[in-house]
Order: sequence, then C-alpha cells, then structure tokens
Amino acid sequence: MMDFNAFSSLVFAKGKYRLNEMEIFYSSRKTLKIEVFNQKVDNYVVSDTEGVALRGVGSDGVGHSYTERLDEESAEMIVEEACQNGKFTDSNERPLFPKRYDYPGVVRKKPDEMKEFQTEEKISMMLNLENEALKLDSRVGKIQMCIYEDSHTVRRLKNSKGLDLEEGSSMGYVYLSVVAKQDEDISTGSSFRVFKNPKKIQIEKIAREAVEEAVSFLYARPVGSGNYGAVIRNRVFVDILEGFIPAFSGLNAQRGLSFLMGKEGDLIGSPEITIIEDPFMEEGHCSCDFDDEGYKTTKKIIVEEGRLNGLLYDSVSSGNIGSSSTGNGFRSSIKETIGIRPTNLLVEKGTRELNKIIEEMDSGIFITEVAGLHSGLDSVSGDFSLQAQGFEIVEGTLGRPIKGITISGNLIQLLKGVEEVSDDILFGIPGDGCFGAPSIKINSISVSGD
Amino acid sequence: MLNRVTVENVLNESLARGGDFAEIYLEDKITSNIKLVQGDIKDSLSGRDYGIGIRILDGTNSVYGYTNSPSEAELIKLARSLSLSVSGGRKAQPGSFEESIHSGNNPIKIQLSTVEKKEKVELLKRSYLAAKEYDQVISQVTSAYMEEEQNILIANSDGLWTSDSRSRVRFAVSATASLNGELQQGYYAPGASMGYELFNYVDVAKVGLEAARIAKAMIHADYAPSGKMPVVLENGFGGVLFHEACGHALEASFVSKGTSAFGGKLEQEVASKHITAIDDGTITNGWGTTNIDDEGTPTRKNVLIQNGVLKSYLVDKLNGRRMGLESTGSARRQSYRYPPTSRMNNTYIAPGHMSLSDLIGSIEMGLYAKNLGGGSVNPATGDFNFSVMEGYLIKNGRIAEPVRGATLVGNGIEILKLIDGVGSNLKMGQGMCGASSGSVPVNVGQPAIRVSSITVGGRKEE
Repeated sequence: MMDFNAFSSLVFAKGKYRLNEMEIFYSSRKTLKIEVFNQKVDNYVVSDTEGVALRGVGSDGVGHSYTERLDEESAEMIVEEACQNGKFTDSNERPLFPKRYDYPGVVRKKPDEMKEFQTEEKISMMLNLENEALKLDSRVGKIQMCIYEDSHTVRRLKNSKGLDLEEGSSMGYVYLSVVAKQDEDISTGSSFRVFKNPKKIQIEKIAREAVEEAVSFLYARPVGSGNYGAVIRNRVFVDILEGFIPAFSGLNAQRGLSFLMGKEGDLIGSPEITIIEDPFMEEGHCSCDFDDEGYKTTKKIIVEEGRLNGLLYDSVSSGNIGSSSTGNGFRSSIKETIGIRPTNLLVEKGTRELNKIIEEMDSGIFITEVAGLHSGLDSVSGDFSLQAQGFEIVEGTLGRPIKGITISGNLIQLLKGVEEVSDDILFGIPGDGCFGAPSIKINSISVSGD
Repeated sequence: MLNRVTVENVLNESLARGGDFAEIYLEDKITSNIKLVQGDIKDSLSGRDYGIGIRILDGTNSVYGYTNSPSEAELIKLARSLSLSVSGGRKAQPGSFEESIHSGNNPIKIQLSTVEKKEKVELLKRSYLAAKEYDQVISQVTSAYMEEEQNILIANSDGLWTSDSRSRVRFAVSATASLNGELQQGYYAPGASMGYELFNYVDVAKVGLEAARIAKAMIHADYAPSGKMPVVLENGFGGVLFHEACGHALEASFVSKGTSAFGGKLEQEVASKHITAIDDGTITNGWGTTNIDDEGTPTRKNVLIQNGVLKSYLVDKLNGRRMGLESTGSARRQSYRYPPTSRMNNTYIAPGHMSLSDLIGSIEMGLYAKNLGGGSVNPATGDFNFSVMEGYLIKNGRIAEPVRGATLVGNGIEILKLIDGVGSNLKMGQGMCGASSGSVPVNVGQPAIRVSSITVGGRKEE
C-alpha cells in the first residue's frame, strides 16, 4: 500500500495521455463504536479505512471509478475503468473542474475536542447511561440499544488544474433506546445527542428522555381516521424534511423528478416557514468550506417566508442552466458519483415554547415519532404516508398515547398549513447533510387509524 | 488473498490477551454500475472494494476492527489493538486450518465482467425505449444496471478455512408519469445471484413496460382510502409483510437480548394455521442465496413457522452463544465494514390452495395491493409498516378502480393471526434489507394472501 500523495501522482501520470482532465477524491475515516448491554461492552468496533475516486474526462465523455486499495495495480485499474466508462456517457456533460480560489476559511483549524476523551471514559460513560436508564422506572427492564459512535474523517481533492484541498472533521453521537413493559403491553422510547465534545453530554437527561417516552407509550392505541389539527414534534419535522431533500436538487428538477420543478419564486409554505442552508454554522456538524468538487460552499435562504428562492446545484446541473455551482456537489462515499445535498440545513425557529402552543389548542394530536420514511415518503411526487405515534391533545394538555396510525399528505400542503413555529430547534444525527427544525403547529393532517 | 501463515499469525495475536474465538474476513469485490437517464448514459462507475475485518469473541462479547490494508504488519497491529479490549489472558490457540468449500447454490454460465459494457448499455437503451413508448403520459425514465463479483475468505481459530465467490446482477427501471402538474412513479427491479445469463430469462423491455404500466395506472388513480379494511397482497414482493411483521423479530440479534416481540415463543402458535414460513439461503440463483453465510457456515433451508407454530429463529454464532443454539447459517453483513449478525436470505410464505379470485371474492370493500414497496419494524413491539406502490379498491368481490400509494401499518403478533387465506402462486421479489450489519440482498416471497383487517394509510380530501 502507498500513501495518497504517491498514489495520486501515479494516477495523474498514468492518466495524462488518456484523459483530458482528472479529479481525484480521497477520503479516510477512523471510527469507534461502543455498544453496551447488561453492564458490559457487548460490541466494540474500530476502523481505519481510506479510498480514492477518480473522475476522468476523456474525448468521449466523463467516466468514474474507485478503489479501496492504494497500490500500483489499482492505479492502473481506475484509470482504465474511468476511460472505459467515459466511452458511453453523454458528452454534453463535461464538468469543468475549478482552479484554486479563495475559500471562506471559516471552518478549518478548530481544535479537535474529541481527542481529549479517552476510550475508557467513553466506555464508562455508556455503562453509566445504561445503568441510569435501568434504575429510573421499574417498567423499563430492557435496553434495546445503547450506542456510542465517533468518527474522524479527512477528505482531499486534487484535480488536473492544480487544485489541492484538504479538510477534516470529527463528530460523534450517543443513542439510547429502551423497552418498557407492563403486563403484556410493550413500548419503546429513545433519545440521542450529537456532539463534538463528549464531555458536554448530560447522561442523566438522555436516560430520562428515553425512559419517559417509553413509559408514556404503554397502552397506546389508535385514534379514529379523520383530519386533525396537529403539532409535529421537531424530531419528526427533521425526519420529514430530510426525506424530501432530493426534491431540492436542481438536477432532479431538471430531470422531471421533483415536484418542486418550475416552482422557484412560488409559495410552497406558509409565511412562518424559512429554510436556510448554512455551511459555516459553528455548531453545525456538516460545516465545510468547499464541496466534493472543490467549489466553495455558500450560505443561502432556500425558502423565505414560504417562498422558494432556488434549488441546490453542483457543477453539472448548474452548467445545464448556464449558471455556476452553489457548492452542493457531494459524494455519499467514494463509491457514489457526485450527488446534490445541503451542508447544514435548518428551518428557522419561532419565538414561543412548544407547551405554550399546545396549551392554546382545544383538541388535536401531537405527533412525536414517525417510521417508514424510506418507503412511505416519495420525494418525486411530494406525497407521504407514514407510520406515526404521539398523543391526543385535549383542552391544551397531552392526553392518551396513540400508535398504530398513519399520517398522510403532501409536503407543500403540510408546509402551507403551518400556523406556528416553536422555538425548540433540534438537529438530527447527520447523514447526507445535517438537518435541524423546530416543532410546528399545522391546521390539519389526514390520519388513518381505527 | 492472504496466505495461511499470515492468517494464523493474525489470529494468534488476536487471542493473545483473552477471548475464545477469533475470525478473519477478507472481501475483494469488483462492481460496475451504469445509469441511463432519458436515453443518455449519465453515470458509469466501476471499481474495487477491498478490506479485512478481524473479530474476537469472548463469551458473548464481540470486538471487531477493519482496515483496507492486507499487509501482515498492519493486520497484526489491528489484531493487537483489538486484543487490548479483551481481558483475562490467553484462553485459546488457533487450530490448524482445514479447508472446506461449499458451492453449487449459484451456478454461473457467463461471468459478468467478461461481457462488454457496450452490451449492457444496449440493455439499458432497450428498456428505456419500451418504457418511454408505452404511453404519452410517461415523462421520465431512469434505468440502471448493477453488477458485482464478491470474493470472500473466512478463516477462524476453530480451524475453519473457507471462501466463496458471489456474482450478483440487478436491472432496475423507474418510470415517471406526469399529468396536470402531478408526478407518479413505477419501479421494477429484478435481480439474481447469477451471471449475465440472467438476461436469457429477464426481458429488459418487459422490465421497462412494467415500470411504465405502474406509473400510468397511478397517475390516473385517486388517493387510497384510510382506515381498517381487508387487504389482499399480491404474490412476490407482497412477502414484505412477513419480512417486516415477523422475519426481523425472529433474528437472534433481537431474540437473544430479550428485545423481540417473538422471543420465548418457540413451539407456540404465533400465526394462523394457514401459515408456513421459510427462510432458505440455498434457493438456486436466488437474490438472497449464498453458499456459505458470512461466518462460513453453509446456508440452509430453515422452516420458521409450520402451520402457525413457531419452529425456529435465525441464528448466528455470537447470538447462538447467548441462546444456547447452533447457527442456522444466517450470519450476514454488507461488507467487511460490519461484524456479521443474524439476517434473512430468501424468506417466503409457503403456497396454499386458493386462487386470487377466491381470496378477493368474499370481500365487499377492501384493498388489493398489487405492487409493494419497502417497510420497517420495531422488533421489540412488533409494530411495522410497509408501503403499497400500486393498489386497487376491491368492491363486491371484484377488483375496481386504481388507488395511489399508501402505507399499511400493524402489529406483527396480531397480524399473523389475521391472515385468513393463502393462494397457490408462490413468487419471489427482490429487495435490499437494511439493519445493523448493513444492507444485504434478500428475496421476499409469497403467494397472494388475504389479511382480514389492516390499517391502510390513505387520506381524506379536505
């Protein structure tokens, strides 16, 4: 195996006479995962991996290849594969790789607080978390998941125009899910925290949130089918927003695969809804100065008081409309070609507390959890139908727990029905982007139940 | 691959400070994916995955690490760092290796990588044209060709030395229909663990037509109804109901920790007597078939439920230790990046004797779910969901007008008792199943079945 500098030089040398332009993307990742069960470390996983992706522009078109082995044979292989793959692609879509230019530089060179925390401390924190959760309520006797995971990633980008960029980041999360049981009824509850510095985590709070949620869902039953006024909890709104992100891709809109196509400038939500992408947020876990093509990231208001200002673009999709990349070209992994996604995306919070909003409602439902997002949510049509649970709202207070229902609708209809936004913004566990949202009150949602 | 001396040294180092079992898993995989959007190739990507995972078991505790480097020095370093997490001093020595190779479940006639890309591109174009020309309402067609050849080596301190070669190919078409500003999609994606001869059996034009047919039916359809009603699930991917409602909860990863709704129910009646359910990792060329599982145990046919009585869980080595059970050959993982755990392979409900018209005939008002999408489950409670991609109302015992996608929800323990009719036309559908050991190919299958009552998540007009 060789290091990245040697490997990339070899690839550039081998590709020089066969490809007009080349871009090499490198990613390395170190991870640690600790799972605790019955006061023991039940599963412990460490990793140290790297990989390289090549995008090559030949005379016929653009070809992609990758390898997780960095040796001479693989350098040969990825050049050959990129050449072969380029023979069939549509030649109109040649990316023009950027030269080096000034990046905002806001994100880089922050001290990595994660390193101050030793493995033993992480393990004892998780043992404490499990222990704490098990002693809070006699009905909670089983832990479903008690997981710690942190990761350190480095990405590097070199292209044949002389660009050479590097950026690293660290993050971690703790996730707890517990099982409550009373007689024959079983329910679960969960809680999580995403962090840069694990020392700031309050274990007792995570334990209490998960346990209280599990216990509160004992004997949950469906409500009758119909349309209900509703409050959607921040965590659920984050999930729904994240699920619909492909619809905000300029490329999907160009391809007729998004219900937002042609809606730039239109109202797609109530005036309460403002959605911002901010790559430079201090607390953002997806903050970065450049995207995976080397374009600089930009802060932008995507939806402003209900109006869709614009979509997200990479080099290819922006080239299609004669404009420039918005810095949203990212790879999910070296095994994926460039896709379009936001960095940190958040719905602006309101001014009032969640319980004040609920207090003013005569009746309705409070949706606290949804499931089946990968299958029940269609980012092409905007429709969703999701398994849900929550509580009845009766005269301003939370009533009996509800499960075994679905909520259905369309994203635009949902956003247009937003009457109030609360002040409780929450960020989810980062995936392809980081998503944050507050709880919202909506005029009506269609529920299927008994 | 790796030589025996290196592997023995690595396993020896892994056990130096404790642990009673060590295992090495090497994966070398080449993949090729081509994507056609509206008749043009937009992405052609190929490459090589390569990595090694080392696992140490100490009783019921597991330690796992992985790296891309095959050098002995790097592997010894990884083994040493892992062994520091196990205590108690040396308990075991690696035994001498005995090679044991199992093959024959997935015969291959034409190796995928020997076929020129040009030919694969032609398949994509054929499917595109078929879908595009199906109807004016079809506005967008995306087709994808995906192949992989995965070679794995597994060796462990019990002396096992085995390998497997897995060839998988899949062809997917997604068609979008557009009318009056609305979009609806149809999707069809057959696949198999076989070589390029798949295309002697699968006509890609028909794959395109099927996706287009679904999209057209759905763009002209109204919203699905909401509330509880009888539902007939068509054969093939309808098997997603059993996969979510019960299959996951039978995985030892949940059962062994007491977090499965089906825990402690062996030999008990858990389903209606019409139900016999099987997970079979040996079906010839099945999408979820392998010769050995990802711990090196030969796959087999496991009867999970027989005439309504729970007969077996799906067990891997680690969780088998917790439960005092032998492996059922069900340990799987997406790649070297995951330690293996118990998963499904090809899971299906065995055929009964009813015809589709028998199943539908007695329903006054209900839903006929012709094509299904994915779903998920909370194994502890058994609460599950899955989506209907193409549905029709059933009125007075007949299939009536089409209705759009909706999610169906229920509880696994309750729903298995409400399956009151099983058809005779067993068929498999191909999917990717995601869980703690990653995303693995699975078949879900069944003949058409009738559920007497399930919640349909449609919507009411304002």
